[in-house]
Amino acid sequence: MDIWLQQLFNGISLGSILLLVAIGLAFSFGLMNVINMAHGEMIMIGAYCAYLAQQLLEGPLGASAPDVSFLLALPAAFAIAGLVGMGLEVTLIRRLYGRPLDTLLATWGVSLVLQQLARSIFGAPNVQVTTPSWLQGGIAVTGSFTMPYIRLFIIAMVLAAIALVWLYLVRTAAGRRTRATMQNREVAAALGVRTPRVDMLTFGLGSGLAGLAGCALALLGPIGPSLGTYYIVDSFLVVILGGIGQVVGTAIAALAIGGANALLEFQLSASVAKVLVFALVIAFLQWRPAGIIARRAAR
Amino acid sequence: MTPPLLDRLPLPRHAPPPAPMDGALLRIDRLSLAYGQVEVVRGVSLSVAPGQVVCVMGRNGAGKTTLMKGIIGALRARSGRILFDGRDLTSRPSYARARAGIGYVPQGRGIFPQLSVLENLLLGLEPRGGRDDGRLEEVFELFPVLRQMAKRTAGVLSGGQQQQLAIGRALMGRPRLLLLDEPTEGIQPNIVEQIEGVIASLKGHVAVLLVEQFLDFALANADYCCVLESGAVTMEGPPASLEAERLREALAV
Repeated sequence: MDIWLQQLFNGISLGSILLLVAIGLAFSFGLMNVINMAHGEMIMIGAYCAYLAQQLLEGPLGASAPDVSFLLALPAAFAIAGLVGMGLEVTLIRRLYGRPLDTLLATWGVSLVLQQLARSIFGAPNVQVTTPSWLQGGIAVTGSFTMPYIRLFIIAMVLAAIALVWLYLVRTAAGRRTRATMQNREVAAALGVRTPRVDMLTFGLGSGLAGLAGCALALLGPIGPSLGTYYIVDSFLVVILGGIGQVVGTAIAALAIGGANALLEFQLSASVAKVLVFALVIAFLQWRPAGIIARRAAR
Repeated sequence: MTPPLLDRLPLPRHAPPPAPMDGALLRIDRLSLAYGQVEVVRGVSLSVAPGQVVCVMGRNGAGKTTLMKGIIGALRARSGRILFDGRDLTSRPSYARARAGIGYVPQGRGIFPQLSVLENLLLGLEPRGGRDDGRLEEVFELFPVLRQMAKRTAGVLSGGQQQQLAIGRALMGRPRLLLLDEPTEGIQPNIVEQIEGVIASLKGHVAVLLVEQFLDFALANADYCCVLESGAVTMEGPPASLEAERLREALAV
């Protein structure tokens, strides 16, 4: 029983990371109808930010470097991945506006370039981030079921990030412009909304969130140039399963896919688990093609 | 001015556009617009003086809505020029045209259904950098129903209320020219009257370019009328000068 709870808990924390990544994908798809294949590399950039921060601080701080570096890495990962995302939008994606297939191919190319770049800078072998001392250990709930501080921290961080994004979208003028542009780009522009700027900022925000997710992932396992590719497919599944543009549906889908992965991986091998999850999602979409929560038709 | 008798003579088909050309707020010069290879507006010239109400009439598919989209920049010009207040806006993006002082009420109202009524209105402040200097209060006075509904999701409003919202939203930015695309389409008569009252009250303060199929509404409100047929202006002049027979013929389905 405990072991099941443990797996379920791990699944929830994995799901929360998928959710953070999926929000960025949903932004770029909802706003610009763009499928950004390079989104996974924002995760990778965020993870290397955690590594780099630790390396840079090791000299001056010595053994206590991980304690400080991780806290600095979180905002840095958000900012750097966000800037890379904005650069990608301005230099490439906006020039392919209205050509979804070309955008797909071009961003896939960017994804490969970024992976190779990481390989050239950091080397092909995986690197490791030391867990800060304040995140070591966990809360023992029952017997062998413990909630590790790392995973609790990740869940809390995701919840906080989503709350901030929600506040940004609903309470600020910039968020209002974003939602208006998502609903009707032509009319938003005709009212004076600078839609190119909205696109750039929203793309940057989505990329920054993926960077944040990557920074959190650095605590869970090794970091490599192709880290993003492991998570991007699941994140796409989350977006589609949840119903495009549906926040609640996306959250449910993220937890479902995270949980299913964790529970099945524990029973079967990782690749068989993946196949089963894919099969389940495909079967579900046969039944409900629009996802868990279907988008309401515009009145 | 011109003698009334001469005014009533039917205009030749390709007469040069008569006054007002001097001091025009909006001047469209041989504008052509196309969807792909299909040219929908062909060499239309038109001008609107400050505070003037100009009405564009024509059958379905004559190019009226396309013309409006071309002016606000939702559709790029194939050829010709759009001058606003002496500035050439032809190659400027849509948002720059709104910021120059053009308000737009699209056909079908174009409200944001998932945003609240208040949020819809606040978006109308974009041309002026989002600053509200009591404008919201003025718009609420013009359309009291919007104040009652301010917190509601705009999608739940009735058609007439949505139209009032769309007009109110466009007025939030204090435009000098208002583009109104079929403001009375599919709306109950008492709200049509209210909208008519608002347009009449704008006369002299805000220039209005109005697309209207409702002949009586158009003739009663406009200072100047243009009739589009197959994307070209075939008749124009002050309402009184338009030959009723020809006009009905041009607008008949």
